[in-house]
Amino acid sequence: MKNYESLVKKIFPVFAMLLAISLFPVFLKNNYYLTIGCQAMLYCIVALGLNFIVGMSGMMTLGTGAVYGLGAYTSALLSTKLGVNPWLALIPVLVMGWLIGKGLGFPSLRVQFVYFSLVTIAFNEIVRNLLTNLEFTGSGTGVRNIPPYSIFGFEFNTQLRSYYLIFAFLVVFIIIALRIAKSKWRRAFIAVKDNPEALEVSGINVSSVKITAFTLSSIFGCVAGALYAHFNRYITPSTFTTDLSISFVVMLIIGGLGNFWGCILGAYVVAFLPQLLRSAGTSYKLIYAVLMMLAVILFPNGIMSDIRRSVGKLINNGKGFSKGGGIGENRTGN
Amino acid sequence: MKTVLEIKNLTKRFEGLVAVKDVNITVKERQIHALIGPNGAGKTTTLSMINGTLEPTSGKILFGGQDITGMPAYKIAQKGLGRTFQNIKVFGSLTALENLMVGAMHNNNKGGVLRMLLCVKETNAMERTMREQALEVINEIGIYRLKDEYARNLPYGSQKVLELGRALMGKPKMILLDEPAAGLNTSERAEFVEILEKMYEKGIDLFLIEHNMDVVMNISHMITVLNFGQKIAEGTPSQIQSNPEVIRAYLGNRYKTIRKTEESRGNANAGR
Amino acid sequence: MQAVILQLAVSGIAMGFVYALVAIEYTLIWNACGLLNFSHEKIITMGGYVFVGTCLFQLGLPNIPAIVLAVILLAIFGIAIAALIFIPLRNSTRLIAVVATVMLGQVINEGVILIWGSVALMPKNFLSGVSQILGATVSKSYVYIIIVSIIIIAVLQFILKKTKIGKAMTCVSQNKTAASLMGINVKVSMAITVAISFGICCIIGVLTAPIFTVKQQMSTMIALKGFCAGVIGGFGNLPAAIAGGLILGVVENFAGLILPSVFKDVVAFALMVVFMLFFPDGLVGVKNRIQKHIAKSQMEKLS
Repeated sequence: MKNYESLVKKIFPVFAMLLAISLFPVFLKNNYYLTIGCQAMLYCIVALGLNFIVGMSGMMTLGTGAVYGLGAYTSALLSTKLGVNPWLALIPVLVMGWLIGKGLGFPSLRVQFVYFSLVTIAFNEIVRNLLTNLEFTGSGTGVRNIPPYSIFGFEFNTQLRSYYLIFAFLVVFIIIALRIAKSKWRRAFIAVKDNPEALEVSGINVSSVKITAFTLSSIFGCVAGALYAHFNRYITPSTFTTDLSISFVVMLIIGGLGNFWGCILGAYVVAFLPQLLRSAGTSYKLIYAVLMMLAVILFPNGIMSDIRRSVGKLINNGKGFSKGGGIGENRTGN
Repeated sequence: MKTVLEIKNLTKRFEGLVAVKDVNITVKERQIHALIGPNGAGKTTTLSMINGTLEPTSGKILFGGQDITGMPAYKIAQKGLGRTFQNIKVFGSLTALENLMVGAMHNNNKGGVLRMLLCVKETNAMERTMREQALEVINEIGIYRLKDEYARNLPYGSQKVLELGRALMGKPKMILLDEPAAGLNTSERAEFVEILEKMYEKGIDLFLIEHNMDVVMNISHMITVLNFGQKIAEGTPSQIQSNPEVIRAYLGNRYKTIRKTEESRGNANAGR
Repeated sequence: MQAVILQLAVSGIAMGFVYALVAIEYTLIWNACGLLNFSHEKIITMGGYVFVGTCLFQLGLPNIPAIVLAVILLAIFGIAIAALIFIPLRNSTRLIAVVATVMLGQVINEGVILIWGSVALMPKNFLSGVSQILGATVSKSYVYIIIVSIIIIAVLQFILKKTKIGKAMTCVSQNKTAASLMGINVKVSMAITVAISFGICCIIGVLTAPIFTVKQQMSTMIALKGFCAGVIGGFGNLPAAIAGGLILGVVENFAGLILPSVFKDVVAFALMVVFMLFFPDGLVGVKNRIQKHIAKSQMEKLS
């Protein structure tokens, strides 16, 4: 039965964290906090996807904002202009993610580190420019009156309802991310970062591994974007800037690269910290930026790795792994 | 004896510099074949062309009767041609066991991510076979106690063995080794040679580059000597040791006498 | 028609010089510290605000002293940032270095909003007016940009080639260990490089102030297109960066004639992506390839 026990140990913290997230609206009924809670969960989905590229494969992409935006626009335009059911629109969104993954994966095969960051920035700017200037995407005003998701006439049109809808998606994506993190794909992604040449002579096509990472990440990003469009009900191109792409990467770095818990922690910190700092007055954005910069410089391995180290010490003192779940709870309370 | 690996008129040019020129090597089945030569003779270049990391300027490479010239490296590896590197290339942020499991990935790579997500049972079974195979190999190469250490924290010798283990995981017909004994101390080297011999007995052919003459002369059946990108001799160890051109180009006139004195002292590991 | 073309050419060349200056400014830091300064956009904006907001409006200085003061202030700021961020980060992983400079940009951006507010400032009677060149009406600010840029490039070349400090900077950019063994203080040299780079940023901010007015987003596009210029020219190479900037400026302006104006900003990025994928070494790489080809054919003729 040892196997069973270790399984429980592994799943329990995840379960505790999901419970904490699902109970969040019970304690904070305020619509404002609910909106930020939704935002945080969407960030979680994007961060989990981005982790395959930045965290595991070690490629610095600064184009995630555009991926998120393209997902949002695909779903929003289909449902407003053609009247496609939002659920059906998820299929083109997935296709969109798949296409972006292939498209962004291609330059990653040819250009080196910083150059690749520049290509992705260019991608983000091209997309944002087109979204802002094309008439068909609604120019600068964006898309309005996007219908919400609905099942048999039950509309997910309030913050609370949307919260649980996004939560359901989050659960699905967490399961996918965890399964990938347990599989040979995680090893392949990390091997790409550590030593692509050695991976190649081990019989693995490095290009296809890289493109797989990008495809996965873009699909996560696009679906999150589509959820965002139907949750927020209107979208403007000014949301999907390079700054947004940067905050996605910052989430990963703050949490700790290549680490599942780090993604979740980072997403919640980036979503909630600015709101908490609002009480500090007009300079809260500056304080936030300084904190983020210091976090990146002082904890290059992520805050999560430091928490883990101290938790590890506690476990070694014989307190059991349930402590891991405790962190999850604290985090959502942020 | 059947031919496993055949290299025909292999040439590599780097912008005017000819690194390898018109080299012909035939490796027979069930043999340990060594490639020796002074620094800059084009040995590693030859190896890289065989396993596909470098594209030859001209010439042909046949593996098991099949033309593999210019094929991408991963396809050549899938055909059963493993390789290790002179400067160790392990995956530092994976554990030793996971490093080995990467080596087995191409044999257990049915379908993409979607299939993995949908067919839970199949994936788990594959994962288990990979892990079991990795445990077996890690035992064989003698670093079982280090299996959960990150590869970057392993000592140099263990990293070297680990790289060999990763090549073994792909169930290769032949492994190309680039200076397997370089940087190892006397006891490590003996251990490594033992592993190599074990592998050979299990039915894997070896093709190695080596500077350490005692390793080469002890374990190889056939030796090819390169100098300035050209083959200058080929033959059994005893033939090579008495070949005047080889002695002039590489071994040095003193080699034979040194070797004799070392042997008389009973030390098999000196005399580079 | 001729007048329009001339007008486009002049403004294209002027913008090209701006891109070239941007490319020079981050290439200096890239060469010295080995990291790409993603915060340069905000530093250009900050330069604009220091010049217009502080030196012109608050202190009421005349134009020239105001420019000098702003450049000096930015250079001092550059030394501080070098000591706090660039020098400590030079050995960290590339990923952290990229994100840290990006975050530095956000810090500066928020600081600028806090100090000068988020209103757009417009300098009065500064590089304004138009002049007639061969029958074309050209805004004076473009002419000034061209003149000043040429002066800056010349001075920079002089500093790098002829002065001791400049030679030290070149050494550091080529090999830090060797430079420190030769008795060059690598850290000081880096700090000076960053200071010069920030000074150039400030001048870019000053020069573009009349065109874009001083506001938060004034430099977003020129900063990104500066990266494009660097890639097109050849990364890490100063003369190539200038060539890349000029080509980009002119091509972009004339593309506006053919393509709908919607795509004007896209052209630069598309050009960069094409260059990166097919000519990863930029124009320098293309030039080297052509030279090699010529040399090869000559060799073949001889033999």
